Amino acid sequence: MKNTETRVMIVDDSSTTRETIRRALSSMKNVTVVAECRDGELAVQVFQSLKPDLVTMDLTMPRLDGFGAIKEMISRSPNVKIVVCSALADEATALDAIDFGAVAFVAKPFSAEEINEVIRDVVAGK
Amino acid sequence: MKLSESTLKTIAQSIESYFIKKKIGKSQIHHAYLGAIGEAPTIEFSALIPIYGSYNGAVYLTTSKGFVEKVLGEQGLGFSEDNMLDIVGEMANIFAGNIRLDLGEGFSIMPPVLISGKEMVLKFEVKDQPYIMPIYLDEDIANLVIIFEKT
Repeated sequence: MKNTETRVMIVDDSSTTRETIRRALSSMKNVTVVAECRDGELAVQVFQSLKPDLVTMDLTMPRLDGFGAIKEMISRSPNVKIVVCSALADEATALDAIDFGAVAFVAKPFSAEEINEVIRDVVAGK
Repeated sequence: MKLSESTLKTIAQSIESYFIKKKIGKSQIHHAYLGAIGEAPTIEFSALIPIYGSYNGAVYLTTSKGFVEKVLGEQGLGFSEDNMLDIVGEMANIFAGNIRLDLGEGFSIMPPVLISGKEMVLKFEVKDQPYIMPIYLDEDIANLVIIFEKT
């Protein structure tokens, strides 16, 4: 994804958290938020249409949780970069998320600087 | 269920961390006290996180309007009722989720149930006294209510 536009989808059932992430990413060069979704099921549908490069993914959501959504997305697009942003802050959950195919895990609460740093590293392929 | 000092400390640290990372300012977290068996009153904007897995019960945050306006205002977010309930739900989600750091994977949480209304009393199936942890931002108050038992 180096030196190209990175298209991001934000998935979180909290509208204020989506807004916080969107604002944080707006300060980053070559990063564009293309969609926001409030649950995993909707996110999978939108993902199929828009094919974003990177997804920020909450885990505890109605209808389909983040683990289910990650599994669906990875099966459709194995190269998608998924960054989990979750209040389930224990190590076992983070390792489960990585096992499901996520490339990074950010524990809530996080600052704008923290989410930007993680996204920057993922975009840079670190 | 009696909570250990370690669990109560984890919860208090999680609350403190939220206000520091969101640059909201200094919060004052008071020692938890025990409420009436199986129930807890609302203040105004509330969110309940159902707990399942190895535990049964809820973690629930209830705040005054002034408290939630401070939280939204410091993050540059609008004061709509939707935003007020949403941010209370997200704070409750974070405080409950962080309890897993102490209690492990068996402490599973569901998405928040958002409740708007003053001076209601929520009744819980858990026949135990809830822990009520007051949180202050200046003079504005919120209560984090923790009530669960092992299944």
